[in-house]
Amino acid sequence: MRKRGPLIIILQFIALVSFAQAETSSGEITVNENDITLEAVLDMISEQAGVNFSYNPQYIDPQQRLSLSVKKASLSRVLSILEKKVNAEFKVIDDFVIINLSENPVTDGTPLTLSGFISDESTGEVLIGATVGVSGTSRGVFTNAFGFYSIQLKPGKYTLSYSYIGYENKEVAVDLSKNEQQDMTLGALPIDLPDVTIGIPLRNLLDKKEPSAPEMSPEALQSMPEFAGESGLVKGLQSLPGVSMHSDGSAFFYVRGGERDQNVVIIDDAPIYNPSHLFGFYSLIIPDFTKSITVYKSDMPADLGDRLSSIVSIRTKDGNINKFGFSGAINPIMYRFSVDAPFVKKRGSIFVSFRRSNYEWLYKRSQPESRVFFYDLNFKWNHKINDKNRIYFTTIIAGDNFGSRGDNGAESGIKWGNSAATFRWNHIFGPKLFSNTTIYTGNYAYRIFSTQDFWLSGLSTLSLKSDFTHYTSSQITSKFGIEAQAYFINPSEISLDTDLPIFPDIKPNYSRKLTLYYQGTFGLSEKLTLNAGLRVINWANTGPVTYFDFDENFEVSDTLSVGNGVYHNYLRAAPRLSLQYEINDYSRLKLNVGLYQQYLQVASNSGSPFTSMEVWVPAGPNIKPQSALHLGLSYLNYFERPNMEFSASAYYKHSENQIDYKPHAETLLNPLLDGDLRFGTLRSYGLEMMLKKNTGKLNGWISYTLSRAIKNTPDLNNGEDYLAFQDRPHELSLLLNYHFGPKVRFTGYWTIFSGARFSSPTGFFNFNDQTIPIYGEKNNDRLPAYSRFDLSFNFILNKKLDSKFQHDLTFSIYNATAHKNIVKLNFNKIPVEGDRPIVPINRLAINTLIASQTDFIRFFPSLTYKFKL
Amino acid sequence: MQISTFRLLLLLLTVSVGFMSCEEEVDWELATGGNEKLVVEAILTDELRFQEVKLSQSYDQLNGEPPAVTDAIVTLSIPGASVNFIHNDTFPGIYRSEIPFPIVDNLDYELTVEWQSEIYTSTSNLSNVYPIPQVTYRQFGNSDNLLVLNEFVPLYHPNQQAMYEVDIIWSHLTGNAADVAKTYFYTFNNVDISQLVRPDRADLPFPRGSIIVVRKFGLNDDFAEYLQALVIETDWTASLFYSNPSSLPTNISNDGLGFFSTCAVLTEILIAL
Repeated sequence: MRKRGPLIIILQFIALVSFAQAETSSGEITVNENDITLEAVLDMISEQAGVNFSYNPQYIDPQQRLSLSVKKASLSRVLSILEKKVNAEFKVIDDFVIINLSENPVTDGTPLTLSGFISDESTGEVLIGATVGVSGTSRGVFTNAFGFYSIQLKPGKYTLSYSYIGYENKEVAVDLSKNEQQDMTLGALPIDLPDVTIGIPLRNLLDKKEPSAPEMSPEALQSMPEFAGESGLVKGLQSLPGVSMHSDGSAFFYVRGGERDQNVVIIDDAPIYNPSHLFGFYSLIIPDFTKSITVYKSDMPADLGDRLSSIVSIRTKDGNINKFGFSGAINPIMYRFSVDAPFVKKRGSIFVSFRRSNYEWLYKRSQPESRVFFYDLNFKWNHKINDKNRIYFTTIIAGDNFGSRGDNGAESGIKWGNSAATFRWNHIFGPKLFSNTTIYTGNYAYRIFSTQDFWLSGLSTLSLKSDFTHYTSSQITSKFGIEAQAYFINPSEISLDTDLPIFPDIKPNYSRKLTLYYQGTFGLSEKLTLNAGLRVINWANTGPVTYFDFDENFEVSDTLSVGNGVYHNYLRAAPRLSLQYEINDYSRLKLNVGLYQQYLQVASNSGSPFTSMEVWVPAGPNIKPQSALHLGLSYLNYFERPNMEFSASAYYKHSENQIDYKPHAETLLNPLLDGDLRFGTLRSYGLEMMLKKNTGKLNGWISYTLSRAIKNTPDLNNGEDYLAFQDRPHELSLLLNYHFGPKVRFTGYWTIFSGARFSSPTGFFNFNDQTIPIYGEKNNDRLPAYSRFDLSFNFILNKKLDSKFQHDLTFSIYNATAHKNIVKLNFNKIPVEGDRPIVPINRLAINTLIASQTDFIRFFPSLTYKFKL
Repeated sequence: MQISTFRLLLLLLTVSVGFMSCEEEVDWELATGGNEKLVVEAILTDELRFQEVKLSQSYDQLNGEPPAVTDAIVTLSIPGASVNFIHNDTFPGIYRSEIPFPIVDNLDYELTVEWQSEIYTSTSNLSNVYPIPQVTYRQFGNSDNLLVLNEFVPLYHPNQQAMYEVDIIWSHLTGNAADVAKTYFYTFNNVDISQLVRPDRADLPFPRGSIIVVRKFGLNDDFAEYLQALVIETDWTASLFYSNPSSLPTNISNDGLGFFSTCAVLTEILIAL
């Protein structure tokens, strides 16, 4: 009986998809022909639509061959498609359709380049992924991460269409006779209007969609129900198909069955090694500071970095170059404020955002000596030097403090924090060559301290990257560059009173990485696009350092001390390839394959949901780089009428050199940590499906993921396969937004997924009068299914929607049904009347142990006020 | 700053998160099986005494009664000599040496257990032990009469790993023979995250005038590793920060369980006033 649940869910999902498809089938003309003459196509249309075609065969060749696939489409829709295919104009007069040559006849002239930036009309913020299309053709390009576009056209007159989601389209006539730079500004549509339709050419919209790299706009993120006043990045990511959460309150996430340290969050290129506050309850990224979020789950661009499972690329807002802006939010747990202001009007601006917790009232009465808080400070400066040069500087500082003041006023406690800074220089060498040079640094550290003493562990990165984009032709775009990175890892630096035991001396280690990369997009035909990329990586460990060799029994066989310079290195290639096929104007199919590498990993033998004292370890003599082969097939279909889209992705991953741990491995203060690691493989596969309705009073999405993750580590579990912690066969999520009117919105989010795998005892024995568990197969058991329903109501408080001062109130409930989502099971405690179970310590007492379960966050309401000036 | 200070600080951190967590009893069906294996408990010391070995079997159910092994042949041997251990019928599963003897330094001791036609062996040599730190205690809550032990042992030491067996006896004050308690403390040469953030534990109050007997066992590295795994799986697990579970290591051959170790021991007796 228990197994029927997922089946019913799948059937319901399929039924829903079928219903959605049926809803789109209300047109008039159906043609599905390949390699057919124009004349034959026109005959079919005449027969079905009752119209006659009139044209001059001297100009319009009736024998030209083409393919057409439309299903119950309107006449105007079909003619629009034909216009692009035969480069002609179709005019309907009564029952006649007159065909004339296009005003833009194809010439033999040398292609010219039109390039420029697209930005927000009001703020000057450059728009990432905005489209530039040539009306009457299928040609179109997107702006890059800096809002730059470049398109090749033959000399002539064109009408260009500039568009971006949530913005008004702009059509501009261009008479192209030489290479030109044309910057464009677009005006934002009024926000929160549910019936606004997306005015982007369908083809461009579909080309931009990528199931293996979903985008999450900050607006979409903020529309999700909040936890304690904030719709966190990580919680938003966890709602995407293929992304699994650890448990409530955790910032850990798993992508397509990979390990949690196989994901990286980069902000303006700089890595954030621990993107959470308060152990994971809050995400580090301030929503107001974010411009775009893209999650690469597969087919990762060669320019982005080396991770096996995902790269979450966040681009931050530049700031308003036209006028001063002020926004903020406050609730009982935290407050945040953001200011953006023109630095040099029309040319530069600064953006500053600050957030701090204010939950002191929760503990001050009972623990007045405590100092527990977190904070973020984000800053960005951008300046347009001239039309060809622009610079950006971003810095992010974030910290958590758990401290307590003693009688002498000195504070003891634990602090941890991230800092990152990026300096970028955009330079346009010419209409076809765009470059971006970046220097960035990222740092993560935790520090346990008491007056003068401390225990510090950290990781720092310094990088220089030069990236070039060459718009070779309308069919070929090339991206290439070089990146040099240095890593400094300090596993533990300890300063203690001299009369205390000395901790092992664990020296910092240094590594560097040099990467050359290339990523090309090739239009092989009208329907087929090839993406090919390659990273060539040299990873080197550098001295001075003392390291250990281990024998086959993981015992130290040699101790080696090396001086300055490289003492070990790896040279690896990471190729990737994808083919996208345009089935018809409504659907796309994509096949991708890639080999990915990873050189930096977290050593943690803890199943805890919280960020704890972790150690970062680089690839080196004892740790080979992790690698993963990705295979993926994705399908995307757009339903025009109800403005819905359906996407499905199937994937398979095989990862090598996957880290696991010997039983009870110690990762803290362990100079022989490498000897506690065990290496194996991880196989994961799955199917992700999503049906999404973008507009209307009722919109949202439903997604279902079927996935498995299986590990094999020869030195563990008798060499047998075992299911990974993150093996979650079924995941179902539903997000619904309902607009009661222009000022009130309800959002409901429900998710249910299979529980995590864990090891439960298969027996017990006694030693020293204690009950000791025995474990059999690794991860032999599964936690109960996770289920959560969140809801929120958003009320816009300003009288006019377009008023200058905008403010709203959001009431959210996290886990509104108070479902007990189990994080851990224990078998070592005794019950206590009216209190939590505890661990017994008297070995002579008769202790009747119980199984106990721990869960977090049952029903958490919050109320947040936000404003924008 | 000592490791214990770290632990106290992290306790604060745990409490802060803990206010949002709930823990309660649950019925959980375990997929048990493959038990009834031999379990050896053999901690022989450098004290001149009748040494003891306890043999039992593993079992399926939490709170199950470990079946005593009463029909084994137990022998301790060193090159050129051996001592037999005789089963004590009064205490099923306890085997006592035929003669009193101390474990001495620089000898490899081999323990052999013959049971159900199988032979289980294990070897050990004597560990070192260092002086017992000062045993301290404090008032229990607001009670004038009740005390509790402080964490008087270092949680970390690079080369003085130890197990402290603490017996607390106040039966002489009450006339009730059951008024005794036993608890353990440990010093290890590495740090586990679950050691720093331990779960809530029961209190062990005792009245003033109680007798406290502290026996400090010096540990070899392999026995320390075993005991650390033991506490990771028992006393330390179930907080918000915990290590992944695994079966304990063993030095008993032939798929046996438990451990055989030879330890140097120091004893201190005091009256808590």
